[in-house]
This record gives sequence, C-alpha cells and structure tokens, in this order.
Amino acid sequence: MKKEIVIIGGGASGVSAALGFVNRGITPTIIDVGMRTDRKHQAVGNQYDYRKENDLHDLMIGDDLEGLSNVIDGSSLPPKLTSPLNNYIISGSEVLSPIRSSNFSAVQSFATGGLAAAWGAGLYRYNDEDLGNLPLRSDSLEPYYDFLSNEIGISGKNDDLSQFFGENNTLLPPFKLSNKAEHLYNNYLKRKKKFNRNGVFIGYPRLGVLTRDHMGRKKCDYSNFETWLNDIPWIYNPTHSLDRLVKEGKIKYISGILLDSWGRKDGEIIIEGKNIHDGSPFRKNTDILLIAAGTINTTKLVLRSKKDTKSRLPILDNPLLQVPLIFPAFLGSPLDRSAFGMTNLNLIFKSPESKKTLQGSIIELTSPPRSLFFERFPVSSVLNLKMIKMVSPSLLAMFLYYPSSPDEAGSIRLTNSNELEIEQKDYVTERAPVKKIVRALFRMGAWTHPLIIQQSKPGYAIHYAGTIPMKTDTTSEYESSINGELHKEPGVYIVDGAPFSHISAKNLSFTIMANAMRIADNISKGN
Amino acid sequence: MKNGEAAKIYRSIFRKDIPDIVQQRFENSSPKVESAFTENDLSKYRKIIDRISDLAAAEYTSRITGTNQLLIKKFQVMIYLGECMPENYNIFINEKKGLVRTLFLFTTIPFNSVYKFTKGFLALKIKI
Repeated sequence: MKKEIVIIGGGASGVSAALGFVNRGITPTIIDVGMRTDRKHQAVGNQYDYRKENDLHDLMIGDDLEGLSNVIDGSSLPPKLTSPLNNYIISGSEVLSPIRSSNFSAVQSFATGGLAAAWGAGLYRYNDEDLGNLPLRSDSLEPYYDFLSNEIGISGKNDDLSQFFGENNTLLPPFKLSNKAEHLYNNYLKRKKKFNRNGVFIGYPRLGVLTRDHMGRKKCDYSNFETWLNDIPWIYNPTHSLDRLVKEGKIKYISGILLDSWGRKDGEIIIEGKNIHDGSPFRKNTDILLIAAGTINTTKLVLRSKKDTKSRLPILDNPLLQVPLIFPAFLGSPLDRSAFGMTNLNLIFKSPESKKTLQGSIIELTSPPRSLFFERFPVSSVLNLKMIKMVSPSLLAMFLYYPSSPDEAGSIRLTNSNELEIEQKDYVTERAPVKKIVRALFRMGAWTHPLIIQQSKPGYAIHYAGTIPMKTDTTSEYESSINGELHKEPGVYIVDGAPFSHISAKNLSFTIMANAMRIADNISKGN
Repeated sequence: MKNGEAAKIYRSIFRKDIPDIVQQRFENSSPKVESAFTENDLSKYRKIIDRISDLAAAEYTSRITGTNQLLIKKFQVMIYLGECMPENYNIFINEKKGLVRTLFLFTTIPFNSVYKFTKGFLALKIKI
C-alpha cells in the first residue's frame, strides 16, 4: 500500500491505529499537538520515606497553585490531573479548544498520550453484551485485544470476573492487594455463593500495570504516590509505544500542530491547522485520514470541516457514583504505605431484577494528598486533622459506573465563535442495586451508607463517546460505518470513542484501542 | 510568636508557629484565592481574622452554617500548604496502631463539636 496515511492524535486510539498499520509494514504519520513536560520526580524508593524528609510543594501544589485548583476554583478534576507534574496533560485545552457547559465536566488533553497519560489504566475487553446494539461483535476485536495486551502488559487474574471480562491467558500476574482490599476480597471469597446469588461479584481488575518487567519497562515497586507522579514506568501510557515506534522509524510523528478541519481537492484530502508555537498555518495532503483526537475534539474537527454550527450531536459518558467505604477493622491502623494507590479490585453487579450491569472500581486512597480529606468530616479543623490521621487509613472508595445509551445522551454543538457547547441533564441512576451492593459490602467488612454516596456531575467519568455513531448502513453525515468511515467521506475514518453509541459500565478505553487497530488493519488489507 | 493572617490560621490548625516558607506561600496564594470574592467578603474576613481569637471555632461554625466561604477556603489552602512540610508528616500520616486513641477521638467529637460551634457562633455574632 503506497497511500499516504495520516492519523490525528497521539493518544490511546491514535497509537493503536498506528500499531495496526506498522504490523502491516505501513508507515503512517501521526500529527499531534503533543504537549510534554520535562519535569520528572527523580526520587526512588517508597515515597512516604521521601516525604518524611522533603518539602512536597513542587509535587503537590506547584508554583502556579495548580494542585490547589479544587480549593481555589472549585475544580472537580481528579487530583491526578491537577498535580503539578501531570497538569501539562490538560493545560492549554481551554485556549486550544474552549468548551461552554454549565453541567458537563468536559476534560480534554492535547498532550502526547492524551488523557491516557494520567488514566487509571483499567483495560477491559468488551463482550457482545457490552457492545449492545453496536454493529460490532467481540470476536472481531479479539485478535487486537490480544496484540495490545502483549504491547501494554495487562495484569489480572482469571477469577469470578472472568465471566464478564473474558478468560484469557495473556494476563500478567495480579498485583499485591492493599491490606483493606485483601480483607474485603477474603471476606467475599468466604461467602461468595451468597453474594453471587444477590448479583455481586468481586475480583481482580485488568490493569495496564506491570507486575513483571515488560517491553523494557520496570514492574510496580509499590512505592506509592501514583496520584502525584507522571510517566510512571509500570503504568502503561500510549507515549511508551509512540516513542518506541518513532525511535524505530516505524512511524512519522509531527507535533506542535493543532488541526482545525479537512477539505478535498483533486480527490485528495487536505488537512489544515496551525502551529501552536508560532501560529503559522499548517497544511498537508493525504489519501487516508484517521481521526483519533479524542471524542470531543474529533467531534469539533468534523463539525468544523462541515462548517456546521446548527447540528446538535449526542454525547455519552458513564454516570458515576462515588461510594466511600469505611473499614471499621482498620480504624486507627497505620497507613498502608506500600499499597498500589489506584484500583485494587473490581465489583460487578448483575442481577436478573436489574436492567443494567454495573461496574465498581474499588480504589486505594493511600496516594492522594491527605488534605483532600480535610473537611470531609463534619468536625472542627483540629479534629479533622486527627480524623485524617486516624480514620483515613481505614478508607477505600468505589467508583460505581453505570452504562450509558443514546436515550441518556447529552448534546454537543459548535458555536459561531468556534467553541463547543455541551448540554447534559443530571443523570438519573437506578438506586435499587446500590442498596444491594451496600449490604453486600457491609458483609465483607466495608461500611457505607446511601446518604454519603455522591452522584458525580455528568462528564466526571471522562469516558466520552457516541457523537458519531457506528451504523451498519449510514444515512446521516454524522454516522460512521462499521469500518469507521464517515458517511459520504471516503478515506476519512473515525477511530476513537466517537463511534460508540452505547457504552457499558466497563471502561471503554481498551475497546476503543482494539477498534482503532482493527480499522487500521482493515484499511491496510484494503477492506 | 508570629502574628498576622497566615500565622493565626496556621496556629489554629497546627497549634504551632508557621514556618517562614509556608507564610510566604500562603501570602503568594492570597490574590488568587481572594479573586473570586467581593470587597464585602474580604472586609468581613479581615474582621474575623483581627477580632476573633479562636479562628478554628469561627471556621467550623462557618462551615456548618455555610457562611464566610473565604475563611473556609483559607483554611483549606493552609492545610495543603502545611501537609507539604516534612515536619508535619506525623500530623497527617499514622504509622502506629491506635485503635484506643481513635475510639477516644470519636467520644470527644460530640463535646468538641458543640463547644466549638457555640464558641464560633457567639464570636461571629458578637464581634463581627
């Protein structure tokens, strides 16, 4: 194949598409804004030892007070994205692609690796039930899941969740659970038949977190501070693959370019944008264009190219409940300094009475700043400090995700001033399963109560999708075919989350990646 | 003993003198923290700092009653700045078993809360 191929975006989907071409001996060009940071925390070993001796201001707050944005601006961003070392991932997005929204927490990234540079690395295979009404079956994704599993290094275990996540032999060994997660899991195993009858299943997550050295990257050393640090070698980030492919000369990579739209001349696709450093115009011809700019920015590119400020397209995100879990058995216990400070376990709720399958990510809280817990307790500041010290080691949190379908979608449109406008009503989540989950968790040693469970603002899950639905027979200019091709736009393919008009409660990232690779592979084969 | 806004807030929370570097950082953060507030809010906040000795009580009452948001934000900022300091490690991180201490802590909560709320409420009512 001698056609010129351009991929817009160097995040998870763009890099996966590039891998699909590289496997067929084709050299694509990735065009990316590609923000990076040269700041990196160098201290090795347990980070709690480091903080005993060192001022954390540069790691935790930063000169521009970015780590305080939740306090100063009321930002609802996860602490990982506001930490000074990770803030580059989202910085500039309000200028490069402003979004207006009163009720949707829209997060965009123009960094190399995209939002995956700070993701939770939950990588789940979708089965046919997860794919719902999409014209895509899981067996067509399986070879790409397998390839990417090897590229990434996914840890996990074939356990009670294999019926939902798929049984597979490519998993690295599971990582060491934190003390509380182990306590919960052991209590689950003792009475699991009863829990399962009530629809509650618990097991290891599938994470892009290395438990043994892999592809030149080091395995997890449980040194903690995952919230504060960037480019942690054992947490997969698409930049790892991108940099390797560039180094090996297998792809071309152009950074510093913000693309605005595409047009056509003499049968060729012409993409246009600008250099973000000097503002100079950028123009490039290509035969095939894959758009992997992230659902929101991809939508903007499509609407800009069609000069459409009227259409409102659907946008999905997983409704999310934040469930604090208190473990009475761990009250007053020492902080588990050597825990892996992200998702330790997954919970699946699937019952015949409930229409929806829910997924919970049970997260260890040893990594965020302790100050995050200040004022979470309705007591005076001095007692708050004591509670932080004595009670916070007994806490985990569960993010409980609901699936999302077109009837729950918000809307996104381009305004005349070239901003995106997103509207989304508050989600209405089915609460009956929550009661069952709360009861089950109580029997596993974790206390919580519906009154302290918080519903997150729409958009908080940062699992955006569904703006350009995938259809077997496309009829609208804002639909894509099963092979990702945009309706009546030969050679233009959408390969990120935008075509997924239904998202299950499982994190969509791995499926977006596998689909991007599948589309690239099909293009390479001339299908 | 140091005085001034930063020193008073720090002492209310950590019960010790503020390190110079924290004082400087707190002062540097003030324009950004205060930017979203009106002149009235600022004036009321300054009165609270000048006239009330138990700022922790005033902050607690404000938090419960949903008033004096600037005072609440300033406390939050100070907590983060304080956590950065290695000398405060043991204030935030527990490294020893302490179930008895924790249970004792729970027993003090109702008394402390009623006392602090009343004290803060009266101080804000009478002095501001």
